[in-house]
Parts: sequence; structure tokens; C-alpha cells
Amino acid sequence: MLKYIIRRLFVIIPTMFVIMVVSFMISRSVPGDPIQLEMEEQFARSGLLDSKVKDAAYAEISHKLGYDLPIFYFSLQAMAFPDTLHRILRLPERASLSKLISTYGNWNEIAAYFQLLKQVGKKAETLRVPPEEGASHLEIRRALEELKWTPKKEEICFQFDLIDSLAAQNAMLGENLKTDFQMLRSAFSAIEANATTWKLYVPTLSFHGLGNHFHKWLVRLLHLDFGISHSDHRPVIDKIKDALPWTMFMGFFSFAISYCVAIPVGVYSVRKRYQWQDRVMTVGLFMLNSMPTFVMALLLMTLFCNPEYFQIFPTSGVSSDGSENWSFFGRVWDHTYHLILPTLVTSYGSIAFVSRQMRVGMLETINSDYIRTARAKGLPENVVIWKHTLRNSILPVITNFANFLPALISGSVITETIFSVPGMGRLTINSIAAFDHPTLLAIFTLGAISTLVGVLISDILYAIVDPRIKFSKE
Amino acid sequence: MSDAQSHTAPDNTEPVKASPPTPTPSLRSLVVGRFRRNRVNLLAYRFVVVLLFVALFADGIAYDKPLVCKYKGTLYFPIIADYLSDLNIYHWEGDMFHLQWREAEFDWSLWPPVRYQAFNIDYQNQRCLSPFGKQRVENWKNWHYLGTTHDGRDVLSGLVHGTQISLTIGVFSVALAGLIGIVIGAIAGFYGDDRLRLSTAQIIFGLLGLVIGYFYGFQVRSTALGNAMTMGGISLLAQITIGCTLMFGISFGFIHLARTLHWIPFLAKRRIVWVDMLVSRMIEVFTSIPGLLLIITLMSIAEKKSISLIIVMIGLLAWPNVARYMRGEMLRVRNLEFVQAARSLGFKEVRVMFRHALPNSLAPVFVVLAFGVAGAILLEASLSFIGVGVPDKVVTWGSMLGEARSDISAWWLSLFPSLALFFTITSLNLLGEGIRDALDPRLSPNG
Repeated sequence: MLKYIIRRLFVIIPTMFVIMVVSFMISRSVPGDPIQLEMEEQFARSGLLDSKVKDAAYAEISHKLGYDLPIFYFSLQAMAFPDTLHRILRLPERASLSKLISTYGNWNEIAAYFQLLKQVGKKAETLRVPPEEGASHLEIRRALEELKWTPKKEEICFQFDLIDSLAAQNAMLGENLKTDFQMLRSAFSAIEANATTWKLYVPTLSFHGLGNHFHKWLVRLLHLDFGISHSDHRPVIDKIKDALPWTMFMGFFSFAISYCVAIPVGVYSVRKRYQWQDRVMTVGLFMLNSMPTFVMALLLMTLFCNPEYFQIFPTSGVSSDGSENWSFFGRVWDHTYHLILPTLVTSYGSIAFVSRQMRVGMLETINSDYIRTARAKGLPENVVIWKHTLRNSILPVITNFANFLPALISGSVITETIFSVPGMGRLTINSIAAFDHPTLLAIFTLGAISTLVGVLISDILYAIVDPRIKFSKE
Repeated sequence: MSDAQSHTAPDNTEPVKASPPTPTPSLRSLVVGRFRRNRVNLLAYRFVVVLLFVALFADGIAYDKPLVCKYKGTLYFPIIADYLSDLNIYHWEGDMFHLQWREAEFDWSLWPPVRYQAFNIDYQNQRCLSPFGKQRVENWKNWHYLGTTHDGRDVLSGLVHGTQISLTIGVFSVALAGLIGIVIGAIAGFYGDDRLRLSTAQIIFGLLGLVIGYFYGFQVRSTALGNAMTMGGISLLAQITIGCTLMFGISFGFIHLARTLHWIPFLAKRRIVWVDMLVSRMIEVFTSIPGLLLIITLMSIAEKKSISLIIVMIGLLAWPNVARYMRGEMLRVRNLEFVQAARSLGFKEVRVMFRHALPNSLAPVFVVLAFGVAGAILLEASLSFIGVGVPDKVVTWGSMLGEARSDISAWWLSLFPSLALFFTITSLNLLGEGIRDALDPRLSPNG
């Protein structure tokens, strides 16, 4: 048994790794500059600072998040791309450079152009100009910034023309920067003239070792450090800690309820097989099974939370007003009372699923020889059903166990939204609305891990219940 | 299925002539017969047909212009004209372009039963009007039969056009998932863990080809792929297809090239490739990704929401389910006599797989496909319900239900879309179960 479990655990590792890679890739492809966002959050508290401090802060955050490292353990990319592109710290600049490379393929010329662009930018920034040229000065500085982010030729030319016309109008600026602008233009035309596009079609493989972004991300993930939420500057893990208990509470009870109801229902259905009770049950369970969650939730809500019909349950939330001052048991009862409807909504689906599975599984076994033997021995029907049949048809029911853990962790987006339960599902929806990608990815990653572990647990249970599985796999 | 029977038919002509006049019925007719015997199945089937009809002719049922009309002596087909103008073939002339269709004086006109499009906003009937309450309309023909939403959209028209969107998403995403799943599952099941033998050289070259193919298929074309993501589902799918074709094409090319090295004894040694194991691992990875969460995350990243994007995402996530069934059935079918016979006749493996084994193992996959359509429709409804699915302008069952949440006393807003969704899902599930029971009559009491 232990051997089987250990082997099963080994099999799960590559799968887990692939899921991590997927999750990481999504996190890298989120639009916008995560470092900038994180920085803005820091400065939201400390006020405005000058550009040097900002640069330092950017570098620090970039280092902390691992964006200053190569992406993966190895990279397969075109020969035109340098190994050291990740040393360009500013992400928009890096993106624009890599677009330039994938158009022209000559890193040397592009690097020279970019270096020049930075120098001219610095020079323009430090230049002292008479007040009447102030506006144009600002305009030129903005255009030079813009040039760092635009890989498109038309836009670059447009900015060049803008700068030239501004320099021509203003004596002081023109005098000081004219040659620099000329050099910039020639540097850009050098890129175009010496394009080596063939380099884009030659693959090169390079290894980066453990010092890469993915590794750093993975290590942080293993320390449960999911970064800082973009919506309220709190660590993501804290938000999850707040949300998880509600979801787990609901998940646990809904599973308890569904198994407590589903197994007797399945058994009853088999005892009355092919009679009208069974027919009614089958049809009812079938309809329950194909009833979408939110339809059920809306239905229950319209019926039981509506002053026009029966106002038995509260519409939303998990606690009544002023319940903070109640006694402990009072609060627990209050939460339970609020969570009855959402828990029912999350459990009816698995009630239907499990009892239908039970019925089919038991019908398959009930005609087998050993059941007939049990009956022939004179065992009462109850014993035959509960002891002999149920045991041998419990397998499909265990399958549902695989859903248990994911439901505990990621919760039900739909139900929690409808009933305003502040659990994980609701956190998901709020994160979408706030473009809070770190939180979303954390939830996604946790969900994927819990699915995997859930399947693992159900596989192990399978092996415990049915030893044949263990042997057949060996 | 019929394909396989038709090409095995010539071999059977002799025995059939000799056999008694009542030949054994084909599997197909048996299954259809068993399926039809159950009244509920037929009912579900008919309901699905009606749904398809509504989806196909949604514009003919609910539209804000007449089907046919005669205006100032000229005959118009406004709906067809609208289609043509969408395709830039036809353009509405000056005063027809600005015509207020609902108020215009026609010589005669034939209107669709519902005189609103799903996105039409009736400013006089806003704030959720009940179908039985007071509505401000000129005559009964403009009545909102099932009430209006908060913005003043017609609920019935939303239902009709929602059918179109739901079924489009259901059918096309499952078609995509089915295509991928059937091919991958068939390969995994047919070769299993024992049938594919490649030489060492071929394995090395194949892997090398995959890496290089990945480079040319995806890395070199990363800009195009990135752009496709913002352009919508169809271009994304096209780019992915091109990428995969390049990748696997190059890999196959390399495998063929490897034959030139077979004079080296070490490289010519044949080894087993565990195709089934690899595919099963892949399926495991895909099934452990929480689909709804992934789609929600991706949709929140995507710059432009579109229906085609949802279709592609659902399709790319749902194939493992199909592949699993296909693989299981293929593992069974590959050991049957007719496949063995085809193999021993010396046909190429690929031909045996796709012409002989595959058509005969499709039947159980149809069951998964029927359930898959139901699942996809449900997924789309959930996405629209929480407002991350379709573009904001598009009205679907899910988005109407989402609106109903803010006003639970407007029962018509939640009831009708709920019913539509419920009956659709139920009948698709019934259809799936019906086919399954018809294929495998062991479980039903009177089969």
C-alpha cells in the first residue's frame, strides 16, 4: 500500500510542475507593468519622490520579484536575441527592445541606438533652458521617453520629426541637442540598414541555472508568498486567509450533507428498483442534476428571501448587524443561519450526482452471483444491501471525493457571489473587477494544486477499497 | 460508423447472399430503434431540434425590422438586406437608412413574431416591466410578451437570441474539443504503451524536431501569436493551428530523416514509445486545471471579449474528456478481429487507425459530446452570469439571469431564462443518456 502511495506521489510531481509553469506563464503575460504597479502602491503611502529614488525602488522591486533574471531554467530563442536582455530593468523598455530585435535582428545596432537614446534623454533632462522654452523642453523630454517604449517604425519617425521641429523652433534647445538628435536618427537608420533578419531564424539554446525568474517565483510560492494585492495593497495570502474559512465551512458541510442524503437515497432507490418510487426518484434526481447552480440559487432566493413570498432566510452576507457583540454560540448560530441556503445550493448537485452513481453501481452488482448467494443464505435484505452490495458499488462514489478538496479551497464562484459569502469564490470575482492579477493567480494556483491532491486522495481511497487496482497497476 | 461498414461490405457480399432472407440488423439501426423506444428520449431529441431551429432562425423570430415589406411601392427584405450590408454587399439608401421601422407606414408588411432585437433598448418601457403589467406601447403587436429588463430590453427577444449564442458556443466549442480529443485519444488508445516502436535515431530526431518545431512554430511567430490573442478567437485558433502544424510537421520530417542513420547498429535498435502514458499524463495535467478559474483569469487578461474567444477557450480546455473516452474505446477496439485483420493485410498503421478502428469506436464518444454541449452551455451561462464572458452588448441567458439578481422581485427576468437553460441542459443530458443506454442496454430494465 505504502509503495503504491509513494509511486503515485512521484507521478504527481511532473504534473504539478507543468501546472506551475502554466500558472507562471499566465502571470508573465498579464498586460501592464507589475513592478510599476507595485511601486505605485508603495509610493501611495510615502508620497512623490524624485526620479533617482524611483529608479532605485524600481530596481529593488524588480529584484525582489525576480524580473531581473532570465525567465526559465533554459531558453530557446533566436540567435538575434542577446542572453542579457533581462538586465534591462524597465519592462516596457524590454518589451519594446525585444520587438525591435524581432523586426531587425541586429542587437548590436539596437543596443547602440538605445544607449544613445538614454544618453540624450539624460542630457535633455539636465539641460537648463530659458523659461520661454520650458514647454518645448518638456515636450522633447516626453518624446524621448516615448521613444524608449515604441518599437514601431512609423511612431519612431513621428517622434523624430516632432523633436526636430521643436528643436528648430527653440534656439537654446536646438543648439545644445541638434547633433544628438542627428546621431539618434543615424543610429536608427543604421539599425534599418544593417538588419540581419536571418538571425531570427537560427535557434540557440542557453541554460541559466537556478538563478531564474520561475525558480524564484516557485520558491516564493512554496513559502506561500503570493505577492501584494493590486486592489488594496494587502498581501494576497492575508486576503486568502480571511476568505478561506468561509469557503471551507461551506464546503465541509455541503459534503457532509450530500453524503448523508445521497447514500440513503441511492440505497432506497435500489431497494424499490423499477417500482414507481424508484422512477420518481430517478426523474427527480436527474432534473436536480441538470439544474444549473445559479438557477437553483436564484430560485431559492426568490422563494425564501423575498418579502413577497416566504422571508425565512437572510438574502446575503454571513452575519447579522450588530452580531459582533453576541456570545460565541450566538455568533456561530448566526453564521450557520446565514449559510444554510448557500450550503444547500452547493450540495444539491453532488447529492444528485452521488446518488445516481450509487444507483447505477448497485444495480450492476445486485444481480451478481454472490448477492444471490447472500440471499440464499437467508440473510435479511437489509444486510444484503448495506453490507454486500453497497461495499462493492462504492467506487463511483469515491470518485466524487476528488472534488472535495477543490471545493474546500476554491469554493463556488457562483453561489458565493449570489449569496455574498466573503469566501474564495467571491474573492475571485472581486479580484476580476479590480484587475487584481496576483490574487487571481494565487487562487488559480491553489485551485489547481488542490484538484491534483484531490485526485490523488481519491486514487488512494480507490486502492484501499479495491485492492485489485493496486495490483493491476503494479 | 456507416463509413466503416460500407467499406467492409464488399467482403461480406457472399455470406449475405447465402444467409436467410432476414439479415441481422446493423448496430446503427439497433441503436436507433432502442433510442426511439423511449418516449422521453424522443421528447428531448425534438426539443433539441426546436432549439436548433430557433438558433438558426433567431433573426426571423425576433427582429426590429419586418421580414418582408412594401414601402412606397418598392418591395424590401430588410433582414436579408441587413445581412448583405454586414457583408458590405448592399447599402441602405438615404431615407431607408434613417427609417423608423416601427412607426413607418408600409403598403403592407410581414413582421417577425417579436418586434425587438435582443440589444434594442425601448426607452419607454424601462425598469423591468412585467408581461402582465402596464406597458407603454402603441398596439399589442409591440407588446413585450415576456416583459422587459432594467434597461428596457425585450426578454423574449433576449431568450431567442440567447438560444443562438448558447448553441453556437456549445456546438462549436464541443466540435473543437471533439476534433482534438478524438485525434489525440485515438492515437493514445491505438498505440497504447506497446505498439509504437521507433528506432533510437528516430526518437532522438523526433524530440529534436519537436524542439526545433516549437522554435519555428511558436517562438519565431510569437509576435503574430500575441497579436492574435487581441484579435479574437478565430485568429487565435488559426495561429495555434499553424504553430502546431509547423511543430509536428518538422518533428515528423525529422523522424523520416532519421532513417538515413539506420546503418549504425546502435541507432537502429527499436524501442517502445509509451504513447498512452504520455497522453494520459497530458490529460491529467489538463483535467487538474480548474477550467472556470482559468477562463476567468484569461478573460480578465484578454483585451477584447468575444464569443469566438470563449469558444476557443472552452474547446481547448474540454478536449481531455473526449480524449479519455476515445482512448478507452480505442484500447478495446484495437484488439478486435477486424482491426487485427486489417493490420495483417499489411495496411499502414495510420490507415488502420483512422479508417478502420476510429470509425468503429466513435459511438461512445457521441455520448460525451452531448454532455459536453450541455457543459459548455452551462459554462458560458456561468461566465455571462458573473459578467466576464461575452461582450457587454450581447444578451445571453446567463447575462439576463445576472441582471435578475439585482432585482429579485422581477420574476420574469429570472424565470424565463432559468427555464430555457434548465430545459436545454436537461434535454441535452437526456439525449446523452439516451444514446448511452441505447448503445449499452445492459442497464435498462426492459432493454
